[in-house]
Amino acid sequence: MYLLELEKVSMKFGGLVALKDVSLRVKSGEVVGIIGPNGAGKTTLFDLITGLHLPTSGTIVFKGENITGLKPHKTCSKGIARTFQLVRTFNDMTVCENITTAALLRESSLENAKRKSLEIMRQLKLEGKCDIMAGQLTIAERKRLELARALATNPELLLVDELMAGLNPSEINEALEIIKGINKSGITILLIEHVMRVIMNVSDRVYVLNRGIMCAEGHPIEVANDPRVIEAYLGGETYA
Amino acid sequence: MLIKIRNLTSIRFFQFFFFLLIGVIPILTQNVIILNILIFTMFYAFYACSWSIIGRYAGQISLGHAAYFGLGAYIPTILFLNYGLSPWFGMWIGGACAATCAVFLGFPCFRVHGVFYLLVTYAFAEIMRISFIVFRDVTGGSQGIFVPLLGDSPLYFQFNSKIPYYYIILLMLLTLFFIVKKLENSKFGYYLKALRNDEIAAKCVGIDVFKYKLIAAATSAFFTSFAGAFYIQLIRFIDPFDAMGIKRSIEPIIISLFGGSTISHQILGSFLLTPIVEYLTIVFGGTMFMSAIQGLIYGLVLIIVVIVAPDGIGGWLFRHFGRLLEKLKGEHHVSP
Repeated sequence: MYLLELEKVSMKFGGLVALKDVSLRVKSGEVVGIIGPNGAGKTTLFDLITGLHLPTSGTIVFKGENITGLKPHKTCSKGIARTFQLVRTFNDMTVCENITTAALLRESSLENAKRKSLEIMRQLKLEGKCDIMAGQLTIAERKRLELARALATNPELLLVDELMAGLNPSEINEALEIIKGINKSGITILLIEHVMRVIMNVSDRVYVLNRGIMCAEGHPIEVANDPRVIEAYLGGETYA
Repeated sequence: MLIKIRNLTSIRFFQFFFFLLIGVIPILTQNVIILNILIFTMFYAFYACSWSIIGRYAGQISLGHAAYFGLGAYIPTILFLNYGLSPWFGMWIGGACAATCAVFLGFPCFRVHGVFYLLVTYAFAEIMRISFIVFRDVTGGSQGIFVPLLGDSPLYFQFNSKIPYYYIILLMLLTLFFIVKKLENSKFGYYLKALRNDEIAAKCVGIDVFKYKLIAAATSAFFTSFAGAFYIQLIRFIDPFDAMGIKRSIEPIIISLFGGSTISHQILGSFLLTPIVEYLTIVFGGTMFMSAIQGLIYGLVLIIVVIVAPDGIGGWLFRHFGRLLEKLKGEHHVSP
């Protein structure tokens, strides 16, 4: 029984084929990485899973239930949360308000939601920033805030879109620990990442996406040495 | 934390004092001009605050609130003229009609975002205005509609003196103020703030953006229609251009932009702007010069505010005097 199953999912934007017959399976408790060059369709894949776009064909099954074409707020209440590659924090709101808004999905009263947001802030080391406007945070902090906001919706599956982009090495280490902590607390993670160190470090399995086609799958080390993957990143017929 | 709490109570105290002061003015002076100006000030504050529920809190600029305003003014009066129903009841029916219209308008528009809502609401107000001119059997056409004089009859929302109107609009404004304050600190308020900031992110934390926009639009239209109902009982006459012209739609936007983003700022904005405009109207009368100068004032004020204080006069005052206030306080209260 898989937590998330994508079966031959395709997505066309007009004449452009962004994804073609992509299949993907995620087991409960796993950390699964998705890598691929820019424009491969990784973020589009996340948009389809969360329901921001409707796939042209194919089915998406979450916990045995067909969720293809469900609206984003519905998939979120089913237990799928995500972060964005280009951060989308609520910038006119304080850090606390950002997380509280997300917590309101499961909590009926504002008091409980605020209490829960304090808990999450402690978990993600944001407690000192409680009353600061989200727009005034650094990129690293805003990314962590997005993670906190996603966690506040009590997800079972967390989609993380390039969390490490734009972070310095020490921030990457910190973020890595956070991701591991989240996974340890029982949340399954699907991770888009360019920083190979992160992929090697945390993921149980890796999928490789190239020009909308899933071209390889397997253990991180196998995948990294797969000629098809090297070709995808460096171009064909090289001796790199 | 200590500073924050003290600040909060001082704001509450200021608001209380402000409303108390307005409440006692009719006892201090019975000058009709002053009362009239204050009635209009509170009326515009009420209208702007109603608009801001959708325009400011939900971030969807509506350029068609005149339609809701007109429905609120016409429906109670038509019901009164044809069925003898008291405007006190009619205004609730008008409110329901306005809210329904807002929902129907939102249905096609809130699925897409951007400028479409603005255009559709504007078109809707124009359609309403023209149909109210065309269907003259019911609405009186372009000649407008009169509320027949009954003399002092509280049951039919008519009074000889200005003072009852003064307290009615004050009560309406206070009620709206407390409702919006309550909303600001509720799930609804948080959700509106979030979807105004980033719609896609709001959807992805589980907010049904479409539904909450519809609720905000309906609430805003409902209160706007009350502004219309009050207006026609005060003036006792309305015509389609006055009720549903583009000027009516723009008024709340100007006051709201002038005032600021929260409801207290908008009330403040109306109290700073409306008396000037109303006073000039009285001085120059209904001359051509006046209607030109009114537009000129609005335009100039708007340009200055957008350049000097983009967050409105309320935000500007708060930034400058808030700091001063804190300094003064720091000298008086030495915190332990």
